[in-house]
Amino acid sequence: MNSRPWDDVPCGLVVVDGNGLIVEANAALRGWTGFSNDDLIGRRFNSLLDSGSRLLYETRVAPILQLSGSIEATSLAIVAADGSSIATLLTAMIADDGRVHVAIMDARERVDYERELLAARRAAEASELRVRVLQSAAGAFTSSQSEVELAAALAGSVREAFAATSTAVFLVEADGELALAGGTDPFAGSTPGHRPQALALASGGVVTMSSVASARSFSPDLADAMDAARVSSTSATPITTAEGVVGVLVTHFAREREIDAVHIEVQSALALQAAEVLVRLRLQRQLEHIALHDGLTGLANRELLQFHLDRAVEAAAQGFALFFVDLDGFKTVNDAYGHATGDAVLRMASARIVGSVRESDVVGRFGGDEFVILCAGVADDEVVHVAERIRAAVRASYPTAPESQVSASIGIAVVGESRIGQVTATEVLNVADNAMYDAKALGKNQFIARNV
Amino acid sequence: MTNDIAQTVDVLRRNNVRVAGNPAGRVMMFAHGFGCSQATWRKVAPAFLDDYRVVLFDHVGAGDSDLAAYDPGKYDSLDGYASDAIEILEALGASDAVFVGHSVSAMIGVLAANERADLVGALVLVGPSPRYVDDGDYRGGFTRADIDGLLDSLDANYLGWSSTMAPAIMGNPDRPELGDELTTSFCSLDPVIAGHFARVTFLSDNRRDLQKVTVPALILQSLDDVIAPESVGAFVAESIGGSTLATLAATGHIPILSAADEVVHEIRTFLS
Repeated sequence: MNSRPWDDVPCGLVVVDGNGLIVEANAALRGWTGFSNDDLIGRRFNSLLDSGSRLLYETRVAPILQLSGSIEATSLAIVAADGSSIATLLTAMIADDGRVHVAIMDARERVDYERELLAARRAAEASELRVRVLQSAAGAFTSSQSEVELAAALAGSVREAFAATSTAVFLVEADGELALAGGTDPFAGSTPGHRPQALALASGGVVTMSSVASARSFSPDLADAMDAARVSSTSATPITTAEGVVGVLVTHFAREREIDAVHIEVQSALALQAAEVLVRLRLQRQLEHIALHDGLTGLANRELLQFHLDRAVEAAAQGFALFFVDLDGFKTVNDAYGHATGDAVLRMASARIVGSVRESDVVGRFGGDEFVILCAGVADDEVVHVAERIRAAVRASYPTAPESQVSASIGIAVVGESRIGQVTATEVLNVADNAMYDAKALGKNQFIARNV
Repeated sequence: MTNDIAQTVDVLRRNNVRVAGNPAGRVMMFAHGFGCSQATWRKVAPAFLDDYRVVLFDHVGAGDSDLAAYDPGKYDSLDGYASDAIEILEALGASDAVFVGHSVSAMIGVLAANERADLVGALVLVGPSPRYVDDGDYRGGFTRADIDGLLDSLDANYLGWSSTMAPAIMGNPDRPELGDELTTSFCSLDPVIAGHFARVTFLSDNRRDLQKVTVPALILQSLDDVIAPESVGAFVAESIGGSTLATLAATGHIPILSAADEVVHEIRTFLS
C-alpha cells in the first residue's frame, strides 16, 4: 500500500462503519498498537478499548456520538497487541455516509499526570468526608436536648456517612428489650430474635452481613428476614457506656455493600460519640429529677409544687382543689421509735396519699410531715370523696410503728373556674393552710374545705 | 388536596418529566440508562405519540433533573430509582402503563412492576442485565476490576473537563458543532453522582427480582452487546416466566439510537 498523507499524521486515524466495525486504520495507529492491518480491519472498534473504557464508551460516549454527531477529546485507554494499555484522547465525528471518523491522540504523559492528581483528590476527598461527617455529627449530637433527638441525629449522620438506604438507632428499655428511638427499621415485620440489632445486643459485639448469602450460612432465619426486608447488607454496632450495652446502631443497604474495617471503625466511632452524649443527657435528667423531688419520699418538692400551682392559678382550663395535709401524731412516732422509723412512716404515708388520688394529680412534700396535693378539675362533692380517701388511708395502722396513732388533718382550698386568673398562689396556699389549722384545732383527723 | 398538587409538581420537576402524545392512550413510560438522559429516546418515542400517552423523564442526577433531590442513601440501590418511577406514574394518575427501560432502567422497571403491578402493566427490557459482575457459574461479562476501571475512566474525563486544562483538552472551542450544546445539556451528569450511579448500576445484583415478575415482558437483545451479552439476555428471559425474547439484527448496546425502527417494530408487535 502506498503511503498516503493520512498515514503520516502524528495521531491514530480510524474509520468505523455503521455496525461498529473497523474499515480503515492508519500507520500511526498500527505503529503504536503493534496490530497489523489484518488484525484491525473488520474488528469491532470497541474491542480495542480496555474493559473500563469499553463500559464508558458503550454507555456514554456512543450515545453522545449518535445524538450530536461528534465527541471531543474523551479520555479512553486502548489495549496494544502486547497487552499494554495506552492512554489516549479520542475525538470522533459521524460523516455524511454514516461512517465514524475517529482521531486518537497519544495522551500517556498527560493521563499519567491526571491519574496522579486523581489519586490525590480521591484520598483527600475520602478523608475530608470522614472528618466532615464526624464533625457535623459531633455538632448535632451535642445540641440534642433529648434521647429521641440524639437518636435521630445519630441515625441521620450514619446514613449520610455511608449513603445507607436506612439506619436505625435502638435503645435498651427498662425491661431489657430494644425499642426504636431514631431512624427506620425495615425488620419491623420479622421475628424479633432474627433481627441484626438483637444479634448485636445478644453478642455485645459488632454484627455485619455483607450479603444475604453470607447471612444464610450464619443463620437461615436472618437471611430470610433480610430477604423480606429488601436488605442485602447490614451492620449492627452496640452503643456502649460504663453501664454496658445501652443500645444498638444498625445500617441497612438495599444492595450488596462491602463492609470493611474502615466502615466498622467509623460506625463504632459515631456510636461511641453518641454514647457519651447519651450519658450526659441521662445524668442531666437525673440531676433535674433530684433538684425537683424530695429525697426521702420521691414526691415533688416545694419548688416543683410551686411551679404547678403557679400554672394552675394563672391558666388552668378548669377549677382545681389544693389539699394541705398535716400528719397528726407524727412527733410521737419519732419520739417513741426513733427517726429511722419516723422516716419509714413518712414514706408509707406518702405512698398511701399517692394511692388515694389520680395519677395526674400532683402530690408533693411541703416540709416535715406536711403534704400538698393539687387536683385539677374536681367539683365540690368530689373534693369530699378525695379527702375521705386520704384521711382513711393515712389513718390505717403502720406495721413499723404498731403502737402509734397517725392521722391526717386536711385543709382544702377550692378554686372555681371563674376564679382562675383572679387569685394568687399565695392566697390559695394560705386558705388551705388556715383550713388545715382549723381542722386540727377542731380535734384532728378531719378536713375542712373552703372556696377561694 | 393542595399538598397532593404540590407533591405532584415536585415529582414532575424533580425528574424533568415530559408528557406528550395521545392523552386518551395507554401510558408508555421510557426510562434511560446510565450515561445519558431521556434524549436517548429521541428516535423511538416519537413513533408512539399517535397511540400512546408518552412519558419521558430523567433519573435524578442525569439530564435536567433536580440535582438537589439526590439523596445518596435513597439512590444507593435501584429501589430508590424504582420508587421515583412509581411516584411519577402516580402523579400522572396512570395505571397499567407500558414501561420501556434501556440498560439499567430495564431492572428499575422490573422492581417498579414487582412493587406496583397495577401501575406497570407491561415491561419492555432493552439490553437488560440483572448483574454485570461474574458470580460463580453466572457470567455477567465483567469483573470487579473492570467496574473499577470504568470509575477511573469516568473520573479521568471529569478531571479533564473540570480542570483549567479543559480548553486544551476540548480541542476546538472556536467551532462548536450544531447540537453540541443540546448534547451537553441532555447528557450532562454530575461527576460525583455519575460515579455513584455507575457503582449502583454495575455492582447491583437483582437476579432474584426477575423471578417475581408477573406482568408480560419483552426482552430486546442486540448482537455483540458488550454491556449485556446474549447469554445474559437468555438468562433474563428464562428467569421471567412467560416472557418473550426478541433478538435484534442490530449490534451494540444502544439499538434505541442505532436501530430505532427495529426496536419500534418489536415493541408494536409485542403490544398488539
